[in-house]
Amino acid sequence: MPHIRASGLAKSFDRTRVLHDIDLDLPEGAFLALLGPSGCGKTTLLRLIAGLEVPDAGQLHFGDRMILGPNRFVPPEDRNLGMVFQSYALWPNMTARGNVEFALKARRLPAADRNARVEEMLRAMGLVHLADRRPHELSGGQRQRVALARSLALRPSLLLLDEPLANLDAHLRHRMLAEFRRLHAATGTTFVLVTHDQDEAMAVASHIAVMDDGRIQQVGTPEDLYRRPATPMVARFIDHGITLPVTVATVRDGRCDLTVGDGALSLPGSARPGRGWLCLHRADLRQAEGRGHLQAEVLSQTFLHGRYLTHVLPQGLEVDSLSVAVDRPLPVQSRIGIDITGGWVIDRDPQGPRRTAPAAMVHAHA
Amino acid sequence: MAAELRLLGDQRTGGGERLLAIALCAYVGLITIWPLGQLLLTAFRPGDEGQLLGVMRDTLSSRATGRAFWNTLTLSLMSVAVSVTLGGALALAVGLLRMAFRAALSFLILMPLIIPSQVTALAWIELLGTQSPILSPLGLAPAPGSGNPLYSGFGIALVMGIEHMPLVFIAIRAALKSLPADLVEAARIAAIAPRLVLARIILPVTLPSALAGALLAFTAAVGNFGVPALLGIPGRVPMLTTLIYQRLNGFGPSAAGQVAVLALILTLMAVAALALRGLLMRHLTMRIEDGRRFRSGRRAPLWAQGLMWAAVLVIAVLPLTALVLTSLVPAIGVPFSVEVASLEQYRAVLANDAVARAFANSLMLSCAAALICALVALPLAYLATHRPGPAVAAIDLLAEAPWVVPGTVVALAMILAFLPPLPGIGVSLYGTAAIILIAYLARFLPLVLRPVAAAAQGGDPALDEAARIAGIGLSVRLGRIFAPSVLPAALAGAVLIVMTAMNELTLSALLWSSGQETIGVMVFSLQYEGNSTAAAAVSVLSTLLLFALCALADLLGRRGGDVLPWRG
Repeated sequence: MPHIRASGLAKSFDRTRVLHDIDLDLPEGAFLALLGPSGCGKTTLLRLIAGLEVPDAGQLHFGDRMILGPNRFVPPEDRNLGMVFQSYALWPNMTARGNVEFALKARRLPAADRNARVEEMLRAMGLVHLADRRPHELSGGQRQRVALARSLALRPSLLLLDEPLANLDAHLRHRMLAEFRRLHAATGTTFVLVTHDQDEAMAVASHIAVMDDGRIQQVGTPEDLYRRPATPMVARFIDHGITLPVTVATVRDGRCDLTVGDGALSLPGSARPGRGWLCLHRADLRQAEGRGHLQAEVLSQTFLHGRYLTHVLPQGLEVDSLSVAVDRPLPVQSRIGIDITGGWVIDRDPQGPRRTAPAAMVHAHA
Repeated sequence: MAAELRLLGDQRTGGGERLLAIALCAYVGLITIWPLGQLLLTAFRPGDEGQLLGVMRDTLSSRATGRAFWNTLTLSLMSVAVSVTLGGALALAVGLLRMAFRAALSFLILMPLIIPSQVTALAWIELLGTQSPILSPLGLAPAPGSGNPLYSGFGIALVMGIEHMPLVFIAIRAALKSLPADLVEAARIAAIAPRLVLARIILPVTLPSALAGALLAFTAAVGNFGVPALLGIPGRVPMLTTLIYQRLNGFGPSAAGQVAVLALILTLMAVAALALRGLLMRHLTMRIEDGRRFRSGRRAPLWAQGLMWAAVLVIAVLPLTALVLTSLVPAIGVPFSVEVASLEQYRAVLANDAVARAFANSLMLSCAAALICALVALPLAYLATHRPGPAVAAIDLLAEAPWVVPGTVVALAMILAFLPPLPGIGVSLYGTAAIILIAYLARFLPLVLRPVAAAAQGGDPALDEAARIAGIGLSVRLGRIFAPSVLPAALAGAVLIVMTAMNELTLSALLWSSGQETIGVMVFSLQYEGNSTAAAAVSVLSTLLLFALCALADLLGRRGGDVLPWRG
């Protein structure tokens, strides 16, 4: 099972840069989700790893083996990987069994081994009773299982999944996510999953690489991304995060003393003294007993999940509006104080956000 | 190495795919690019005394060239007028009025396109000749000795116009089919009279298609050989295609330079019309929003239905009937009547070795051409879709050329390329069936390549990618993944090739030799020798064979999509 290393991968289509300088270091047996809004380059990166696209620059290693580099291109058929396509790409002229069996036949596996492996895969995927059906006679979820069985039958060391759940309904999606986790644990294969749905990524992945505009913004565990975002994009993207402009006065032992509006507080973060972003989630905001860190004007309220979700406009801050859950109804245009109970502080360069995450390196299998 | 990499694809392109691309380049280069290149070189050759472009200057200044060019231009334009009038009226009637037996009517209207030119010409000759089995009993036939009125420029224009009428019909019919119902309904709600709806809304929307169809008919007329050969040669009305044929027949290869120039003029006329068509389609075609399609609820009045059936009767049924009746006459010169009708002609032609040989040759050649073209189209469409590179794109485009230029030009190019003994073997292909086969392979490849490429483009590229990732090699991918996905299109295209090649005359008229007759050549030479009853019998037999193939193609077409002109 390889330890996947990519460095400096770049790709353009018709002069449009879709991937810039991608560095990635993924330990053996990891389950990586490539997460990002549509058009961020995640599928292109997956197809580069598969060998279905050729990068303009960069290198790719599976363990010690150079897969891609100057004057080197290992074709997809020699990369020992499996791939599940968004369309599933089942061969329509073959039955479910035929799909699973085909590549094994092409590799001239002895018939006994082949049949044993096909049966094993069909059983593992609960497809035994559907084995003789053609793809068009199967439902979306069943096709998905056939596609998985087909790619796992070759016992790949790396399984690539390109938005595999996009065409399934919500219920089936949860079942397939559980299935992915089970298969990942059972096979020990490295999984790379492309998705635009962060709940999906959080549910299965040991590591998530958040991508935006052709760059990897941050690689980390789901908790890293939530609690310690490296860039404002990640902070805002994960769970509808909020970023507030703040000024960092001093930094000591990873804690930043800062002012937000006219309130002062101390929070953990990676920022240097100067202008910073305070990255928050809704859970980090609370109505203050007194004046609080922020003063805000109530815009509207909605009763939701047993509390009043209150939309407020903070005073003296260049942000649109914040939402905070309170216990009672409040008149519109009244003033309340808001306490900030947690958060993470990052730099706010005058030149804009920093280009890449400080450490796109993942150390241990979480 | 790097340049070769780029030409044949990129790093993803595997070694097998590279070899395949090189083999296909060699194939298309040999059967298409080299012959057409030879033609160009010959046309631009210096004169006998080495004057620059001497051959071209001599040919262009000759009176015969001028006359043939003028005839080709004017008669083609006249035939287009016939095609547009007939095809336009029929398409509007079929498209805008509801009537019984519409499908049967459509099929009969398209028949002139399916029947080969020489058979159409022969059928009309029989219909309007002094011996006409249909007009004579009615007392309408031309007086004996007065000659056939079709042996004239007018006759050529009329018969070509009828033959190419379906091209205009198809174009206008397609435009009417895509007319959104909203346009007409909006006008009717605004209380606009039906006459104005037709004149100001429906006709303007169909006009670009009508023009495009007309230009296609012009291209077909310019390149037509069967009609001018059967009507123009006896009528002494030379056209470019027949002039090339007569020059080559009369003077042999020494006339190569001259006829190459004639072929170049022919090509320019055809290509100019097609280029104009492309321009029109780009600039005139109106962007019409998608929506529910317009379907008229108006029933055709009886007079209109009667008129249409009468037109179809004259266009499609009467000439063929005349042909069949002529073939039942026991001997030339005997007027047709039920009492004398016999199958004597059929017995005679079937006993004739040359006729039997012609049927065998045409069947073999067209089936071989269909098979080889399909086998070439599969990997070519595969590479063009999945591994595009400049080299594959270029041959994909150039493979189209022999279908775009008139058939006479292709035949001449084959003679120029394959008359000299092949290097190494020292044998000339001229005079063998091989040269006819190569001409068929070059000319008819697009008939199967287009539908296969379209099917490949519409397919899911992940099917092939999944197989590649699973480590499946090129030949298995081609045979087990790609071929099944485009099989219906390939089959329909192959049947279309058999249908077209089996009855063609244009290519084999120039390329045949004794022992290598084709059905088209047989009809032509029997008629040329004056044995019109035998020619009629052979024509009827070949038409029956064609209808059998139509039925087969229709069966396959049900699965292959709208490759066939009368479907959809």
